[in-house]
Amino acid sequence: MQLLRALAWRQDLLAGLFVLVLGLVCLAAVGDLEIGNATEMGPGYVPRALAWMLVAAGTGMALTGARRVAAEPVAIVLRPVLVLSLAVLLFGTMVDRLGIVLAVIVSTAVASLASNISRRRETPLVCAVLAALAALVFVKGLGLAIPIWPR
Amino acid sequence: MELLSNIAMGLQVAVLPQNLLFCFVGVLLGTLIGVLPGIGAVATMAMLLPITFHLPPATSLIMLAGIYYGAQYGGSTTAILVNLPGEANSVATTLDGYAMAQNGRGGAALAIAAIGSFVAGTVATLLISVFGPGMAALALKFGPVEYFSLMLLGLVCSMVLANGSLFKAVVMILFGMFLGLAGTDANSPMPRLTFGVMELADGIDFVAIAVGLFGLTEIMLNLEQKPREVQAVPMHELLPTREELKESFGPILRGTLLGSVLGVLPGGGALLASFGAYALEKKLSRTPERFGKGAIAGVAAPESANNAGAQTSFIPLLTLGVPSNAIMAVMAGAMTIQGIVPGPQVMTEHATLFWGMIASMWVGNLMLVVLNLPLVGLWVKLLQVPYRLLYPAIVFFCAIGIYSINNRALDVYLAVGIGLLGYLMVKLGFEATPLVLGFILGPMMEENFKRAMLLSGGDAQTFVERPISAGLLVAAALMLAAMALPGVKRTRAEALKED
Repeated sequence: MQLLRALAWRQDLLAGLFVLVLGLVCLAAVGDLEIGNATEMGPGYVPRALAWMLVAAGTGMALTGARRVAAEPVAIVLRPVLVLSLAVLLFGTMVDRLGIVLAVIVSTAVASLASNISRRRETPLVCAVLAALAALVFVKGLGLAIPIWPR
Repeated sequence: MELLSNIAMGLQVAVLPQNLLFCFVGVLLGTLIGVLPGIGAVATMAMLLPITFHLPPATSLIMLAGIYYGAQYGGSTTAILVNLPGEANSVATTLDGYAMAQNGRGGAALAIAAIGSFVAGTVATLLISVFGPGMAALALKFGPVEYFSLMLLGLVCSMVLANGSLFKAVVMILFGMFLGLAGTDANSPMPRLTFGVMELADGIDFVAIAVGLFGLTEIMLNLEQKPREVQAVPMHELLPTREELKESFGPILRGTLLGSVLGVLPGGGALLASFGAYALEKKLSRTPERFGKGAIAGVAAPESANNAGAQTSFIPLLTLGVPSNAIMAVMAGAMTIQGIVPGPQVMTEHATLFWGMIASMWVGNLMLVVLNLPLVGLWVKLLQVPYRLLYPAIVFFCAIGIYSINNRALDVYLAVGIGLLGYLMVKLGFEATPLVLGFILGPMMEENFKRAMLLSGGDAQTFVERPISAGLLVAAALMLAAMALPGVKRTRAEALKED
């Protein structure tokens, strides 16, 4: 915990590490794609160059920023981030089989837990309005090919 | 008088009942999301992209364009009456617009904003029709070498204009390019960078990027703050005095010109235009001390500039095929969905579409004046909708928008992942716009780079040997060099800090 708190003040170091991780993931994605040569570049030529540039930039940022302390710590509020992600993920997994009405109701109900500005009494109404909107306007009206009810 | 016949042809398309209807829907939606802080034009247009598939090409582009410039109008209403930028582009307007509202001249500020926007929209529309064909003719001479250098210049512009650190902008461009390269590349049949996921063979969908970064990330960040009390200043009369009109005349014209020029620059668009115009008026004014306390020039200039910039930013897309900002990337996406390749050939092969869209912008601007002035009370009412009811609706639109691109869950998951990434990016001081530009330009640049190198037999000197390309590269180098000058650095920091 203490380490985390100390890290939060080092925005530049964190930013560098973030870019370094992105670069490494990119390198992993490139794998052993063919590089080719300067005249006839293979599919791996440019992506590999980009990935290495990211790795280099991230390393550079992390090293030069390691000792710099920011004016404010990096503060992450987990609740909205996690709850909103969950709400949208649920929509994605449900909509195909359970239909848009159920998917909208569940994801809206979850989304309204993302912050305590929501009022619990209002949630059922918001769910109902959005579900009706989805079924009537988007599916019936605009003709999106999404099932309304479970199939 | 080819110009006149072109405009006449465009007007014929623009006034078709269906196009009028969707132009109206577009500007109405645009005004709506422009008024509401917390949802922007990029996310809205991206969410609606799948729906436009069912419309004819001209109609769909007319509607999407309407959302964009409609949002410029709507944004000014919130800026003036509530002191919140409804749209990032109206930040400059809050400075004097809100002060005017507090002095009891809110109605006049709104009227001047609308008049300025209309004048700017009209002039910018004319500029597109005058300069568009010439630019397109020039672009037809471009080969892969010139295209690569042009896009490089575009990226350098966008870096220089980005708000934060230059280096971080470069990093985001590189990462955006990498994301853009995923999927099947033109020269080999095998999908690449997909971690073996077959559904990614077509690449990451732009809608997932736009909705993730400009929709989901935005809500995550908004929910961290306490909801703002929205208190609109009451408004008395709508008509500006003769004095105010006279004082606005110059600023409107200068704002329009500056906005038109800045709008064409990649990464520039409306935001830079509005700040630039505000700063210019303050510098030219004989009474600079009145700025920030309700100077009407401080409303007239940025509002004209942002609308002009919004409109002229269509020029690079329609003539060169290069989208200069995230909005234009959505437009490029909409054209691709309809089977139209953005570029110089649009003007010749799809002449009615091109001119119809240009003419519809003018028609749409006219609608906006009518929509915004008499109905301003309605829009202010809308602002009373609290964020606790608004954000579930935005989540809902995001989810449906992403899912309906291909009707598959994978795009939804991708958007969530990108939303999370965007959240971390913002927390660590990175910006989303360079990433988006890299994402769009990356594949085009790779393609042109490869072709140029193939033609030159692997000799990179080809980029400096061809005159147009060399000129573009010199321009890019000069911009970077200028950034190193201490004076420019300071001005840039000052110009962009108020964001």
